Amino acid sequence: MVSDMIPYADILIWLVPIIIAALSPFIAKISRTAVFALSIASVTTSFICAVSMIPDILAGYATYSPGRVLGEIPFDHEFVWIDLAKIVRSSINLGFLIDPLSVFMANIVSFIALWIFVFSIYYMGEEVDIGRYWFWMNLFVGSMILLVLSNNLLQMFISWELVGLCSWGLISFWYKSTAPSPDPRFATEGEYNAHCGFKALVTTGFADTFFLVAILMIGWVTWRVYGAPIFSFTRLMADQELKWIGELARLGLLPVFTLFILSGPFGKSAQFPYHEWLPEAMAGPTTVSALIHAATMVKAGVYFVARFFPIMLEATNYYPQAKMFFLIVAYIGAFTAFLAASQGMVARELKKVLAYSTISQLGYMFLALGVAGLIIHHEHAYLYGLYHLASHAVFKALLFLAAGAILHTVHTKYLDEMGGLAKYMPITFWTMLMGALSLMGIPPFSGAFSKEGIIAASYESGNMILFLLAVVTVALTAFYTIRMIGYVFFGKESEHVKHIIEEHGIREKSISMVLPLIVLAASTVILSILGPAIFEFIEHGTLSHAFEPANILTYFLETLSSRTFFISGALIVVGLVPSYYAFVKQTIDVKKLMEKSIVLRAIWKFLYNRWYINKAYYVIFVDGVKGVSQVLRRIQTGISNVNIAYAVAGIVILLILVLI
Amino acid sequence: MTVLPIQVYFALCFAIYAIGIYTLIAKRNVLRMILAIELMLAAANMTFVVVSYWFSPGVIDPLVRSIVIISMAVGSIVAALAVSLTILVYRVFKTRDVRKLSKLKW
Repeated sequence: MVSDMIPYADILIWLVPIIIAALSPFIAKISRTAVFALSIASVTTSFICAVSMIPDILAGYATYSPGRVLGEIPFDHEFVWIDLAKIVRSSINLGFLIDPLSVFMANIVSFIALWIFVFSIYYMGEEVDIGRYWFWMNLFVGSMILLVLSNNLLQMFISWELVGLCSWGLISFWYKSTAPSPDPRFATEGEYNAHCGFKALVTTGFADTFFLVAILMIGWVTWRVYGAPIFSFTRLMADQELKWIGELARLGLLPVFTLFILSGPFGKSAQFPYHEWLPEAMAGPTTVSALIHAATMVKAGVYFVARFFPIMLEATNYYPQAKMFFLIVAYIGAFTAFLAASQGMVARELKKVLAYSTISQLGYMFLALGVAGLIIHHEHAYLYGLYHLASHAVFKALLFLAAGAILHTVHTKYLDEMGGLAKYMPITFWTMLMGALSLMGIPPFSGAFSKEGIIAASYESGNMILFLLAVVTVALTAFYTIRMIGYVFFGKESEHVKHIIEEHGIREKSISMVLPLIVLAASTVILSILGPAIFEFIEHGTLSHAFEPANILTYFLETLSSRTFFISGALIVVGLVPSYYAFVKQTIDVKKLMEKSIVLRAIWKFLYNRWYINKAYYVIFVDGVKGVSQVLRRIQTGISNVNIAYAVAGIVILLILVLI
Repeated sequence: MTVLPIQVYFALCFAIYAIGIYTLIAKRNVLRMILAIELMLAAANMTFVVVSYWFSPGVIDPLVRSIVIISMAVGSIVAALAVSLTILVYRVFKTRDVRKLSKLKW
């Protein structure tokens, strides 16, 4: 059969952005226009390559279904990268797995990246250091797609760290800024930004250490069982009975392994207990927040769990202990969804509201994947989790870009310094409203259908804790979304906004900023129709029934008439109504209410301080390490006699250890 | 020419090395410490020669000889550099005592 894929599409798709990344600092010295154009050309290439992979999947090369081992996949090919045949009878490979799941992800990543790059043209237009910006952005797109297409764990881990590095470089992008710092601990905003980037790097790096240990555990245990380390996803599943998981269970390492392998995804996707880095990550440019910290990089954790899902599901048939994997994912996901949504209700910065909301929605995706392993209709919850991934990627990118347009216009990130912008920026208002409605889960926007599926699945699991956390979060989501919209677009203009209107006037700025908003807003509506198509594509690798109107209509009616839809609908109203009167109509005076009630003030303080988790982390990890090093530094005397004595003592101890 | 037992040579090497270590730990004068480093280097070179003789008695290994000669040359350069640094340090800080040269300490 002739392949429809562009020749070498699986390599070009990530290599082109990486090459452009390497060139862009030099090109930026010559021409700013050229570097913008080349970056957009490179991401367009990626997008075309990603789209060209779809027909091949449809032609039936690969079939995939949760709970079933992958069939013949001609598109799982690999090259030997580092040959270790003499040492461990294996090699480190560079390989690409092109199956419906990875093609689905690659399409989302390159589609979102394309529109965010277009948005960057104007948004970063006045930036001096444009070469550095495009270096990190292009490198990010390349390594993210490399991550998605990886066919083995080692290559995935390498690209996993690469995207983390890009995240660090872009969060602390404005490290030279001399504006006053939002945090009193730092002298300038630049220092604060650098700290935020470093915090993200350290938190995810801490989580990834455990992840790496788990990956090496897989290599070690497969070496014991099969005689050679195996890291490839397909070959890990090739053994019908998954003896390597049995070996782990026999050795009593399965709980440790489960915790460690989940540590990486939880760190990257900002789930409890690693969620504290994401709100700070908003220090970077808004395009970065949209691309990396909302739409793509933070989905890597969800993607990994989805990729690992069939292995663990198959394992539960033989080793019931493996069910722990799904329980942890479901509980952590549900709890994080609630935790972050509650913090989003009181956030003072526009982008932080969106950041908390991202953590919360990622929690929903983990909840879906976890619940999928616990119920009989695995594929139902699994597919809804991935559908929510797609719809969230679109509407959250839209919300962030709209926020970027607002920040670029009003030059403040605080919600209480905005207000009344609806009549000045109508396109931004309407598109952001569409994103917000999608986030709240109001049809006909895609968020309604995807979130509804997750809530239905958690209801089906019969676990009331998970279900309650999921539906309560719906109310909180409605509350903070409407609060955000109300603060930004309704009410009276603040002094700050009035000042800006007098000076420059407020209007929609550029076609390059408005066009991505419109495209993404349209996509969030279109995605709700594409639901059945995504399900069929990921489950069977076909699209034959997906576009029949009868099919779509049944899907709509089934979703909109389900029992859980009415429950979550009621809770949306519960969250929406007080928020509407307090922040949009402003008939309830929030300030007076806060002054009167001591309970509300206490709750506000608790939530605003992020449940004190952030503070606790600083006390334990930052101050703790500082305290220990204050004691330990006394052994550093600075006298060379003493240092040599230490060296001699070390040699003596080493000799004793070796000789005994 | 009589050849002493090999242990005598090893003992001598170790003794020279120990003197060097002792000087480095106990003495404060920078020049003494440089001399100690040179002593330790000599001990190491000598060990190398003795080991080569031990492995193949009666044969002079040209590889070992050339390596040791290079090592001695390098050692003398190191000594020259160290002495010149000491002179500079003395000009700036007016001391040869290493315990007073601890400005980089926290």
